[in-house]
Amino acid sequence: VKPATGSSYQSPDWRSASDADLLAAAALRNQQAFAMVMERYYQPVYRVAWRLAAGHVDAEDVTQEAFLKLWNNPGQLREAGALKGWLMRVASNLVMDRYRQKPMQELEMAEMVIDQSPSAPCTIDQARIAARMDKAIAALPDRQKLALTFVHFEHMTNIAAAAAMEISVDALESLLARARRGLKELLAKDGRLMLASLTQEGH
Amino acid sequence: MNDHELDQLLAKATHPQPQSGFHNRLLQRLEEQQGNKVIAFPVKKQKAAWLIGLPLAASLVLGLWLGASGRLTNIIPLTTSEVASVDTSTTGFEDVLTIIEDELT
Repeated sequence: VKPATGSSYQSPDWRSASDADLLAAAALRNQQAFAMVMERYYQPVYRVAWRLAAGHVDAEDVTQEAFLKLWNNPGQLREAGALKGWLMRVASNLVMDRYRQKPMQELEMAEMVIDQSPSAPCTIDQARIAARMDKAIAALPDRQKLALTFVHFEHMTNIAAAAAMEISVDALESLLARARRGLKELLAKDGRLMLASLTQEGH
Repeated sequence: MNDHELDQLLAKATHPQPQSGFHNRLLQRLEEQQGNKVIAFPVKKQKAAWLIGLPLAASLVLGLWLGASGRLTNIIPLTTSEVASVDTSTTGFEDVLTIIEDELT
């Protein structure tokens, strides 16, 4: 376990530490090491929670809870190399558990949570396309949505995504294929229109 | 719609970003939870000691009184009437001479 030599968790030692080192230190209740784990993974975990929660505001709470689960019982994670996938799986399970308890909210929320970064779409059409796509993805079954999120939005390899979902690669590929097919069906009506709008803006 | 077109549309889906201060809120919650993990010793309600002692003392006195009343009177005569009831037959030391005389005659 590497000691923290700096005054903050951003000390170079922790920044360069491996996940295994960070987890070992976190297991010894080292907050600086754990803060670095959060620094590394809170964004992807949040994105997965958000995608599964279909833009519901609880995504932040779910993300926090996933990290707290790790902090309270780091022994749950058997392999440090699987940390990112483990956190994502915990977050997705939490979202699904919560929505089993209460009915899914309508995705109008998604339109309110639009990326405010400078690279974000600035025209109304693009915002509408984003909202329409979010809604279509939200309409997919949970497992398909999760597979699509891992592979398409988080750019995980099929092997890593399958490991994170605790399924075989074949099963993951099947989920992905069904998700894409489902999306094509859902977007059959207005997909052409959206594509035309994108092409127009490109010119 | 082909796969390429679908990928084009998927690329336009929202890329959510955590709201600012998310990391700090997460750290704060971690610290709060750590604080909650420290379980304080429960403060015991102080009962007046005499409330417990009183029934104990009363039962002790009652027990002594009930237990001893039948026995002490047998050991230590408490009244003159009991003294008067002492055996008066001729089996005591003072009667030895009378008994010898009777046997001689």
